[in-house]
Amino acid sequence: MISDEALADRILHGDTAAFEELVNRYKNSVFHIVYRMVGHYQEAEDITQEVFILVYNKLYQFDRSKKFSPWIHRIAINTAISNLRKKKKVINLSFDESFGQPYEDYPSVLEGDPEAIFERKEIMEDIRISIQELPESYRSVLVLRYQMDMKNAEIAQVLGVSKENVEVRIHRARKALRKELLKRWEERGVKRELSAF
Amino acid sequence: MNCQLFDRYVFDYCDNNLSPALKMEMDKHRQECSRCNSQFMLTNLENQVLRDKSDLPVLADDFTPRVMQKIFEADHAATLHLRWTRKPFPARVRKIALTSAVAGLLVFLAIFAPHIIPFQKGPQVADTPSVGIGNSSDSDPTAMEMRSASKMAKPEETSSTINYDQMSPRSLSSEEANISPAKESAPPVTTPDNSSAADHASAELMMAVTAEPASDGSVPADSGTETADPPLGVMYWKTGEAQSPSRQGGIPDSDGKSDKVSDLPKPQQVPSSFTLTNVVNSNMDKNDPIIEYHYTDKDNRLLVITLQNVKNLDSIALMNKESQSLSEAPILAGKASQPQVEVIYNIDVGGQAYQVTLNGTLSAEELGKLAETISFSNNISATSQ
Repeated sequence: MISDEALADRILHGDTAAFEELVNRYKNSVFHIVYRMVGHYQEAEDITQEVFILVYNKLYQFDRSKKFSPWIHRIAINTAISNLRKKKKVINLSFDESFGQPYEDYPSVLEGDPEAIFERKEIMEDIRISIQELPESYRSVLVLRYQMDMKNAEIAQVLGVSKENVEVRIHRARKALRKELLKRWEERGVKRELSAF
Repeated sequence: MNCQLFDRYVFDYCDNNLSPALKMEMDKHRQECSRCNSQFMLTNLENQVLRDKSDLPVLADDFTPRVMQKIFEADHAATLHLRWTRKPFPARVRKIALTSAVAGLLVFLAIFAPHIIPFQKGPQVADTPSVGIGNSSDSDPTAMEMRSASKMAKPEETSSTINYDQMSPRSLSSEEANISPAKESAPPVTTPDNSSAADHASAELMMAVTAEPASDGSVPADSGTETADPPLGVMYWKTGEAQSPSRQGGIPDSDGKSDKVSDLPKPQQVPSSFTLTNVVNSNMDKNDPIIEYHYTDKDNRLLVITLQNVKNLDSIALMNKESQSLSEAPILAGKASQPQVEVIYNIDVGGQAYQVTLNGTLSAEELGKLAETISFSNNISATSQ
């Protein structure tokens, strides 16, 4: 199998079939990241297209001594964030759509006491909403870590930061998520009995 | 283990990233502390939501062809853009660019090489008031020719030690016109740092031209008084020298003989340090010769003695005045690049008026001394002594 970097080289020599191969390899991962970032299918698809066009046009900037996947994922993250900032006031994110299904569709983990099941569903819904409320930088690092199952070193390559910095960012993102969740409960006057989990 | 430590490690604990020993302590504390157990449960729920991919939609099958279509369209647009940019500039833009380039070039030349610009008039020429008889020297072809004949140098030249107060045209009189040129005081040195020198020269020439009909030798009443006090750096006729043919008894008839090269007087008493190297007739017309005697000394310094019949000057000036076709600018431009000092004066040899020009690579003082020393004669060949 031809490496991504070799494909990039071919593309630079005018081989459009090589670029088609590259699109097929990365379209799902790119779409995955973008969808988790923007939370809207059509929007995510358009941004994914934009990412590949950007990759095609900026491929000459790619350092072929490095790996291709961090480079394209970095473009995906940056393009998604850029679009979010541009259309922040226009698009109302569908939280249910963006992070997880509506709680009705959650199966096994919610079996048992109906009241407890309902409470857990509510809590999970609150978590999804809280994730969407996080800043893009925190959300992106959580997407890469938990949705893309990347290791800290890989995330560091994508974001262009050190591995230690990634660890710090993840920890802060988790703290921010917890803080956002408690804030939501406090605003609604909900007193969760954490022992119920 | 306490609750604070538990909070610190709870994320790694849920991700199973702790060492076995620390994990055992966390397990133990979670069983003992309900609050920390709830934290653990909540963190696990968060992890479930964060890791959940079940809701992830799938891209449409035609995604890749659509991307490739977009790429093709973008390439096509880029090609069109390139084609558009390869088109020549619109005529208006080209015109503006060309005009700007020419203007810039002219400004550059005006600053760094003003003598190259053919239509540029020196500020001194333009600002010099008309002196003496006749029209403004700027438009007077006679004056132009005079400039040409007297080889006015460029305006940068300023060296002169001659006292101009003694050479005012006002001091000229009919008696002075009869003084032999060989015994005259030092002739004036032209210091062509100012174009008004040419104007004065032309004014004097105009005097000669105007006085020509008065062949009785009388000087026109206003010929010596019409000029204003001269500024410094102006070329003058030598005081006491024959000013015009009319002052010397008029110009002889043009029988042709007096204009021949052999009939022209030859310089004498040229210092022995100078060797005659060349004799040139710089005028194409043999009947109106302008003879240049080229001397060099041991230091290779050049002395050029130019002799010209004043009558010929007049005729040339008159001819040019009629044609009105001579442009002064090229003359000035051509001379500006060759800075030199000239001594110009008139002599009378055998009843014939000649204009003598001394120039070369000598200083003004040396030229002035040479003008005092050198005499002219019709019968003796020019030799260096």
